[in-house]
Amino acid sequence: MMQFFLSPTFWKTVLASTTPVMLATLAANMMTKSGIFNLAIEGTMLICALTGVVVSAFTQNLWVGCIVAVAMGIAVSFIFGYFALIMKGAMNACGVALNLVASGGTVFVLVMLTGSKANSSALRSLTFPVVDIPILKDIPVLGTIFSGQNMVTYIGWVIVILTSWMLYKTKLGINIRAVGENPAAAKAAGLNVIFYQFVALAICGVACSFGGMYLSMGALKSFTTGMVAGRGYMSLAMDAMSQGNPIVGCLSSLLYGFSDTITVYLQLYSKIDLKLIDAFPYLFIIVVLIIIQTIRKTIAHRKEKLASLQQAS
Amino acid sequence: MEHLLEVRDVTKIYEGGILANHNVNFTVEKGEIHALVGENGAGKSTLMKMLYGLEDITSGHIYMNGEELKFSSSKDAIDHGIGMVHQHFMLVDSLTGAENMMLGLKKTSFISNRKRDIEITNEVAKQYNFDIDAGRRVRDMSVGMKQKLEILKILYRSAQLIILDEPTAVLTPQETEELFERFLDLKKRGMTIIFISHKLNEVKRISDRITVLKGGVTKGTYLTKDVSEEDISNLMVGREISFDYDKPEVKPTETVLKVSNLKYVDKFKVPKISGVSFEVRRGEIVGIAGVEGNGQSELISIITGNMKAIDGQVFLNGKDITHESVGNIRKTGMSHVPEDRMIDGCAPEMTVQENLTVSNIDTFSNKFGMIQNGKVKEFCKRQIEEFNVKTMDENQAIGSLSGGNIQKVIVAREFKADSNLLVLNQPTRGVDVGAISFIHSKILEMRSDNKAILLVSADLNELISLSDRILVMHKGKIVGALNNSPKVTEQELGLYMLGLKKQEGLG
Repeated sequence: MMQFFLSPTFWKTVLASTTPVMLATLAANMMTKSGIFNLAIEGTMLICALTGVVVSAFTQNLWVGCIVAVAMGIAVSFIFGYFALIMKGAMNACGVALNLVASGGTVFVLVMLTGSKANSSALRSLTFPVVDIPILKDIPVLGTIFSGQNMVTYIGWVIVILTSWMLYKTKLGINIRAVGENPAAAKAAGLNVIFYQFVALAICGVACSFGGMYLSMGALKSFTTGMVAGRGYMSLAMDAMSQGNPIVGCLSSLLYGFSDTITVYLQLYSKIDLKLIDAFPYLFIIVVLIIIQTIRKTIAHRKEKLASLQQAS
Repeated sequence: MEHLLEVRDVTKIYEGGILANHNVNFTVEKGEIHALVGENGAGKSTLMKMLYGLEDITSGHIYMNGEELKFSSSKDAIDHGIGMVHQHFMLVDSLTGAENMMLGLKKTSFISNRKRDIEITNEVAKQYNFDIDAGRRVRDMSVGMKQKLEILKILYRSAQLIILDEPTAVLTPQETEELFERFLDLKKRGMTIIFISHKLNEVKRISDRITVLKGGVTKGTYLTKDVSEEDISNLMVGREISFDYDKPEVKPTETVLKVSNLKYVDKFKVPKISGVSFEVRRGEIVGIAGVEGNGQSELISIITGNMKAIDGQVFLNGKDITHESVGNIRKTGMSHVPEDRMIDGCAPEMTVQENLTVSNIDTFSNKFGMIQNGKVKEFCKRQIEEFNVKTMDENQAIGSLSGGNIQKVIVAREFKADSNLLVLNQPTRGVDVGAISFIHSKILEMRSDNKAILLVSADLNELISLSDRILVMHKGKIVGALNNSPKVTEQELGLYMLGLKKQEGLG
């Protein structure tokens, strides 16, 4: 029964279902690196998912829909920034408030436009195409896994690589990290703390919008109520696992993709209760988090012991 | 000769009317090392914060090269060539030395060039004879290297005037020595340095001139070679107001608190307490004096159970309480008036009544465990009256009272508890004169009631007027145990506090 692990299609599905969480994790990484606690990633994704569908349906132009959704993502993040950073509201409260606005607001807009509370199938929205990569697609196994993914998946990979390059190799990135880690020091060095936090928020908004659009204009062909389904919250766990590093974050979100895909296959091939299977990805990630945290603690403990031994000698 | 910096009649009044500086005057010449000395709370740090643009000036003027300075942020100060090394390093731990060096500079390229940054940093370091590892992350650097990096950062931003706020507080003697060599070297290159410290031997060793601040007022500027350490010490601690109490004769009886060979090392591996032993008996007040940061607050935290010692024991009523919880220690018979009343002493949003009864609320419950409100109210009314707390009623939030009245509530709670030992940490700090003398009279009352009292205070006058014995702490050790009858002088205490005088054979 477990032979599906060996099939390239299984791994292709893993990469596909990783995409939205990977983008959300990137958004969470940016927030950690700039010293912001943003719960609103979930809601931002949801709003962008609807925006992309609606605008692309009305303009019948995919790229206009995409650009408006990205702008929406940045706008929602800036609203969060205004309340949390400029008005100094409690970050967790601002995040929860935006999420509630998103879950209620998207349904309201949906009903206004389509009359349906459940989905947007009445709208003729557009979707991102599947991209076949020349040469790669002809290589067996690798071609099946890496070629023929949705365009958003490829865009996501590019965003992750660009962002981590930006964070570690450019002045902008160093400034963002400095602001996030020690705002007092950054300020003393003459940096504008709020400015760099808003730059990070903008990147967060872009990542969220692609994550949301992948769900409604890639994986599915329409918007469904509550379709983000906790992926934004999952990203916070992935972020904790990767400690803010986007490349590690990308790899840890593969874990989610993996367990999510297993769930799909288990539903097909096993007799375990469906509800229990649904909980599998989340349980799996909790277990992995515990293991990683234990290893980290042991290493830190050992280091400390070593240091005190050196001190003593 | 033109002064580099002139501070003229500068006054600073904080919100809430606390006067930090009053008509402060001093000048700094180009190319000198100017020491600024004074006790804690003398206004040194406030003065420097104003110079560096972190605080507004209430009135007065600061001139640099004859031009008046008006700063709205530290960025303005940096642009005018003033650099400051804070007591807490302003470095980003996960970045390398070179990256910290370049942080916030306009002239660097967008894509960071690791190699070039390290080269520049090494070059600057070499130019000033500083030895640092520019490629290393700050979190892996020693304290001494971090400090050198901070100074290099300032030099690289072409400062003419460097302010150092107690730079040697965290350094080992070797690191301090190396730092001083660098200072003297910088002076040769025409750099001006303002050096804040209360370590007089260091001040004497490297400064050219000394300005003494006391109680927010300048006591004068002296050529270092003209004054001895004793002279400076006298200028720093002399005081005018004094409390004189008639202390009733009380004969101390059995030992209540016994501390033996206590040791504590902080997380930076700096020894804070190195083998402290003493006893407090019933019916006596033992005072602990010392310049802040010499282990007094750690000592109190360990005795009260808020911190754990790495070695040594604390006995209360003969019972070993070294590893007990705070709750158990209180039950064994200890009351504690903490140093910071707003953080550790009370819950500011809660009422006077709740704050008064938080530690003994159990005693007001009936047999079903319900609290009998009538009894609580009656108890609180009595305390408010006895301790003369100025409050509308017992239901007012304690945070809305004045500092003196908040302190009286805390004192009432702790003094009324059924305990043999009272640990008082700065019981009258920031409290008005009326409340001070009231609290003092209550402390003496407790002494007559045969309680053992341990009193820590930065106010030497308070220590001298209340204590039966005074222990002086310096660098985590007790360097003087003085019998306070006849009364010791502040000058003598000052000599012990600054480490100029030592009794041998104490813990």
